Formats: sequence, C-alpha cells, structure tokens
Amino acid sequence: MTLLNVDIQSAGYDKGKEIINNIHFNIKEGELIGLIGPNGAGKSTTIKTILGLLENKEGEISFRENTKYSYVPERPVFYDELTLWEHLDFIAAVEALPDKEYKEKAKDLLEQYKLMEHAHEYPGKYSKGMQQKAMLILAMITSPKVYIIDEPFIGLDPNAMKLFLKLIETEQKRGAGILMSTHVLDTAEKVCDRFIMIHKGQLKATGTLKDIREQCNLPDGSLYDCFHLIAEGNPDE
Amino acid sequence: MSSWKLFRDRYIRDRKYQYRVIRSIADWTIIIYLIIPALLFIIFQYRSWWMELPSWIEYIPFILIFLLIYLLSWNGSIRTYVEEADKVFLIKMQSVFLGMKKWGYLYSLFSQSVVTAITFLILLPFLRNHFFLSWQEIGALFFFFIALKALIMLVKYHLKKIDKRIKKLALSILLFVALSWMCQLIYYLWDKDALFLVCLCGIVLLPASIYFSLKSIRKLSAIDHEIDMGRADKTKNIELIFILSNEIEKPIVSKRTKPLLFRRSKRMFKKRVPVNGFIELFLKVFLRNRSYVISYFQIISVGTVAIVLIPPLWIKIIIFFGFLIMMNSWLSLVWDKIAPSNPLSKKYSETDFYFKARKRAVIFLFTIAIILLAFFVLCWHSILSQFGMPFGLFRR
Repeated sequence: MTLLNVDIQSAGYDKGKEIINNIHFNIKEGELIGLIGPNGAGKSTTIKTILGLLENKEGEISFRENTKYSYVPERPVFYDELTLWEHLDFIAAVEALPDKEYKEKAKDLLEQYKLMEHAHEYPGKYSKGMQQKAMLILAMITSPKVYIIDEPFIGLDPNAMKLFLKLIETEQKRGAGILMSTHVLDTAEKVCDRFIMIHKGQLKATGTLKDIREQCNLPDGSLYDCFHLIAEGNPDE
Repeated sequence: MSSWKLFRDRYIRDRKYQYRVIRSIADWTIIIYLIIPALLFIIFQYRSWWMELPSWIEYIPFILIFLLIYLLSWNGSIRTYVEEADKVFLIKMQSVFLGMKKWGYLYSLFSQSVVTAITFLILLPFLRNHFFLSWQEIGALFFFFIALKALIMLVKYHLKKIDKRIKKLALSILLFVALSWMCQLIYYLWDKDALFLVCLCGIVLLPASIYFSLKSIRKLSAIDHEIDMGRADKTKNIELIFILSNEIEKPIVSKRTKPLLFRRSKRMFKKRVPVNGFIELFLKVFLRNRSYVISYFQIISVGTVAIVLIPPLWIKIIIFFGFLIMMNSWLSLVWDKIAPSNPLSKKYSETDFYFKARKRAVIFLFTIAIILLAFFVLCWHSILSQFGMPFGLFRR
C-alpha cells in the first residue's frame, strides 16, 4: 500500500529559479528507498519539498491519510535549552503517546544507542555521532509510518551504523516506508529495495538495482558504477 | 612566509575588520556631529585640567587613583592571532606558527602598555599638580603597572582556559583580591618613599611574566582556547555595540551541559497533552535562556521606572497601556521565534493545539509581568515615600 506519493513538477528556493524538475516516485509499506545523487543534485531540495518547507513548488505531495512521518535532517538540530529526555517528552506529549509505553520505548532506544546516561543533558553539547544517534531516537520514538532520513551515516561509528540498519530493518518489518538520502553507496546497495537517482535536479533512473542497471546499460555494474555513469558519464548533458 | 609577515597580515586584517565594525555604526554624520565634537570637548576639558584643577579632585585620595589604575589593569588580554584553520594547515609549520604567536603576544603587551601610558597621561595633571608627584615617582609607578599588566594578562590567559564556571569565577575573585593586596603593599612602599623596591618589584614581575607567557603560548595543546580567546577579542566591539543597543536581543551561548532549572528533565505538567507539551517546551527554553529572561525583566524595569518617575497620572496610564501592548507583542514574537524553530516542532505549527498553547503561554508570562510590574511600582512607591520623595507618584 502506498504511504507517500511524490509528484513534483518543479520546485526551488526562489520563484522562477527551479532546482528540481519532474521528480515522481512513491513509497510503499515496508520499503526502503535510496535517494542517490552527487552533491548539488537536488536530494535535499527533494526532501524539503516533501516536507513542505519550500514555498515555490509545482506538483503534489500526498501522504496516506493519518500517516505519521519523522524527518532526520543531515545536520542534527536541537533546542539548545532542552535535554534529550525533554525533546522526547515533547514529542510524546504532542503525539499523545501513552506515557508508560513511551517511557519504556524511550529507555529501550536510549539503552540501545548507549545514550541513557546522557539523557538529561543538552544534546546540542553532544559529540557529532551522539547527536546523530539522538536524532534517530527522536525519529523512532513515535513509530511513524514514513521516515525521511537525510545522510544518516555521517558521524555514526560502525556499531551505531549496524544498530541503525538493524532498527531500520525492524521498522520495515513493522510496515514503515523509508526514504533515505545517502552517499554511502555500498551500504545503500545492500539494504535499499529501490533507488531514485537524481542528477542536476532531474530524475535520471529509478527502480531496483536491476532496473537501474538496465537504464544505465551496465548489466553487471554496481550501484556505484551506475551512479558514476549518471554523474560523470555524460558530460555533454 | 615568515612569522612576522604572517602576524602583520593578520593584524592588518583584524584592524580592517574592526574599522568596518566601527564604521557600521559611525557614518559621516555621526563622525562630524558626535565623535569630533566629543573629541574636541575631551581635549578642551583635558587642557582645562592643566590650567585649573577641578574642585572634585579635593575629595579623592591618592589610594583611589591607585585603585582605579589597578582596576583598569584588568582590561586587555593576550592575543595570539591563531585562527581555526591553523589546526589543519599552519600547525604543520611549527616555527612559523609559534613565531606568529610570539609576535602576537609581544604586540598585545605593547598595545596594553600604550593603554597604561594613556591612562597615566590622562591622570597626569592630577598626579603632577594635585598629588605633587615627581617624574621619578610617576615613572616608577608607570613601570610597576606595566609589569602588573603583563602579569594580569598571563593570569587571565590561564583563567580563560578553565571550563568550569564556578571554579573560574572563584579563582578570578581570589586572584583579583590577591593582586589587589600586592598593589596595597606597593602603595605602602611607595608611600614610604621606597621607590627602589617598587621598581625592583616591576623588574622581577615583568621579565617573569613575559617568560611564563611565552612558555605558555608555546604549548600546542592550548590552540582551541587561543582560538576562542581570539574570537572573543575580535568580536568584543560587536558585543559592545550589542550591549549598548537595547533593541537588539543578544544571543547568549551557554556552556552548560545540563540544565540548572528543572534538573533531570523534571516535568512542569503531570498531564501530558499536546498543549501542555508545547507550553512546557516554550517555558523551559524561555527560562533557561538568559537573553529572554534579561529582556523580559528589562521591559518590566523600564515600565516600572517610567511609571514611578513620570508625574501626571494620565501619562502613567498611557505608559501602563504601552507596557501591556509591548510586553504582549514581545512575548508573542518570542513564542514565534522559539516554538517553530526546530523541524521537530515546526510540523505541528499549523495545528489547533499549537495556537492554543501559544495563547496560554503568552497570557501566563504576560500576567506574571503585570504582577511583577505592580509589585515593583509599589516597592518603589513605599521606598520613595520613606524618604519623603513621592517623585510625582499618583500626582495629578
């Protein structure tokens, strides 16, 4: 069942200056979709358009009715004056999560990510890796149906990365759809069900790895080979 | 590139930056109509002190002048001109890097000595014509205070490296008192005409301070602190402009890792509903951010003073209504700044509970502000009445 339908004709920061054009895809239950593209391709703009953060947009973004979503930005953003636990408390209050269940889940996530003893400290003062973990916990606490994650692997140590992938898998099994923008192509190749490849604001290839290989004419190519071809292969484009 | 050339380039760049900061508030009209007349006034005033001493100097003992110079000696610090990118690039060329820091230190000492010289120059009419100090006595004091300044710069360099606020504050107070005792001893020696001992103290202090300062800045481990100190020194003029402009809300960056209020994430509301969640978020951010609390009390105190001091009742009523409008709109603005500033909360900014929470939080702080205003006005009224000074309070 489709959780999110993205039908962007054009979008940009300033009126008349489009950054992305004709980007269409959807996210179904239990799917992990990799949003791939070189720097400046328009990945973050696509995410911002989905989140409704860009005013200049032509097209439609539709979530399935009553679908909760969580967004994990590339750079962790916190309230400087709230502890991590207070961030969680806030989300629990506004999402009307049952107190007991929420506390159990929060403690469980904090234990797993080894942040329990730092829960009553300001996350703005954490190390970069800890901040990234905190952002993931904040995203997971509501058990949303859709995750929009921008570059999740930056700053994560190998253990945290493994834990993140495990939790993502659990969420997929629960039926959550995940859109993940990343540059870590070897990991993306292993874990993502489908890919959306963007270059210069345009959708260049979409589908499973097999589909992408076909579209790139690289039957035995890796995701990286396809990415390289799209990003560098057609200089005249 | 030599260390001297590197230092010189950074120094010139810094001067240009400071010039642009000053020019951002002082355009030609300010220079012509304010700064030049002020300078002329100061020059004429200074000249008049040489011709005839002002009468107020009669009441000022020399120990107070001594204390004033001691207080002014705490101004200024070591600047090594280290920049963030040096951690990556310049640190590899240690001789150039350390050489640049050495020049930076020597320049800091020189510029601070010039400041001390200017202080003495300003005080010179009083030192010569009122306290009747000889040139040798003035020279000895000047030399001692330059040495003391070098010592204070070294002390401040190490104090700034302390992360714990309480420890830093306690040590700062302790050292301030200890050095003031040393100054009192110097004053005692100077009073007893032991000029040689005053000079001797300077002769020991100055080279020792320079030696230990140069030794301290040679440590590569201090690079992060030096970057912070350099940044603070570079932006001090901007901060001064901020302090002098009441309309600008100053961003205060706290170094705390845990909150002081509502420790261990203690909740404000037992009932966990969306409205309470937003109110709690707003109130905690508001109370833990000093810049909001300071602005809140500034508005209340300005309102209090205006209501207490301005006589006619009808103007007091207008001021009171002005206060109500201003406080309400400021609190609403602060809500709009805090609540949707994070993607976590922004996604709820169109919901009913968001607006309900906004209304309740603003009304809560607004009511407290009115109560505080009434309390302060009554306090002032009763204090002034005690001294028989109604200041027109409730006068028609």
